Amino acid sequence: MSTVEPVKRPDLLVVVAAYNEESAIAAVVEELGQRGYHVAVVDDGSRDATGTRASAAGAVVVTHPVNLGQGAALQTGLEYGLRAGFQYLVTFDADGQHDPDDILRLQAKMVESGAEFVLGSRFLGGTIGMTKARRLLLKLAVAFTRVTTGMALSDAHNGLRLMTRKGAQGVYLRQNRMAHASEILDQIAASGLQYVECPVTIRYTDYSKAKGQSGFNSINILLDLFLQRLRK
Amino acid sequence: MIVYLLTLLILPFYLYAFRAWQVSRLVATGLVVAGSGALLFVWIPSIANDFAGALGVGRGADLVIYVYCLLSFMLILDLSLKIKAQHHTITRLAREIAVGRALDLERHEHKC
Repeated sequence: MSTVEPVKRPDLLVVVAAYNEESAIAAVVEELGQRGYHVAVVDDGSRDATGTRASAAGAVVVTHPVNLGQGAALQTGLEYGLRAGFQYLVTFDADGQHDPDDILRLQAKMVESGAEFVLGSRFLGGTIGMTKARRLLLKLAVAFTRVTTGMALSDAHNGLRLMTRKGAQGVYLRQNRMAHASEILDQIAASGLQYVECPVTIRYTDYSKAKGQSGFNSINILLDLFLQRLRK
Repeated sequence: MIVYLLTLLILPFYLYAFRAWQVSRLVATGLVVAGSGALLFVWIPSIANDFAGALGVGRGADLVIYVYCLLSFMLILDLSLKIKAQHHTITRLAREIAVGRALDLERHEHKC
């Protein structure tokens, strides 16, 4: 592990997109808060108490009046972070599958490499409880990303990312739902900004597996990406 | 008489293609190609058989149905893109409301 000092935390915002996560969100926010991070939870039109629990746990809550999807929520979080003046932005999943300590590793990697984007990789790091079917699906996504963007990544759909302000200004997610994970890589590749991968750990729990997307959703993702390419 | 009537029915496709150009050039081009094919078949019906033979479809009437399917597909695709564009507008509006409210609340808390 690098000994390079991480960037200063007051300039860093962790963006958590959440939809109906009342049973997990407080623990996620508290874990991040204990490490001194500013946290913005984008409550994506939840029908449960996600927003109030996130707020009680210490997060700033940005509330979508209607449910729009994870991609839209992340873009809202990034825009909030930029308008609030943050210099570094982290995207972090709401279901507790990310390790908050990995943010320090992303920061160290950013300082060490000078890249505008540091992308978490579970295949460089580790996984706990990942099924074979999930591994296969993710490997297919890696191959798809390599073909469509030319990016030789080891993990194409990891929600844990760190970006600089310049990096965040260089992306704009139009894919409201899960296709945003491919879209952001497309945009990073097109922007010409430097990116690196960093080993992280993903913990699959029964809760995160239940909340996660199904394999069939990959068809929706491909359809969304196809429709996006047809525009102009 | 029927030839003029069919021509009148096909012409709006060109207007639709002109509008679709702003959303998707692929859809607009598809509409123009399919519309032109339809016009050709209306005015020179015998050409449908020649085309069908060249394409291995068999009968000209079958080819007309395929062109109709292509037109319908292009229209559905165009509608899907329009719905997506509207959804994008709604997203931007919702985002503006959400971020604006959060920043306002923060400013208010700082004042207090």
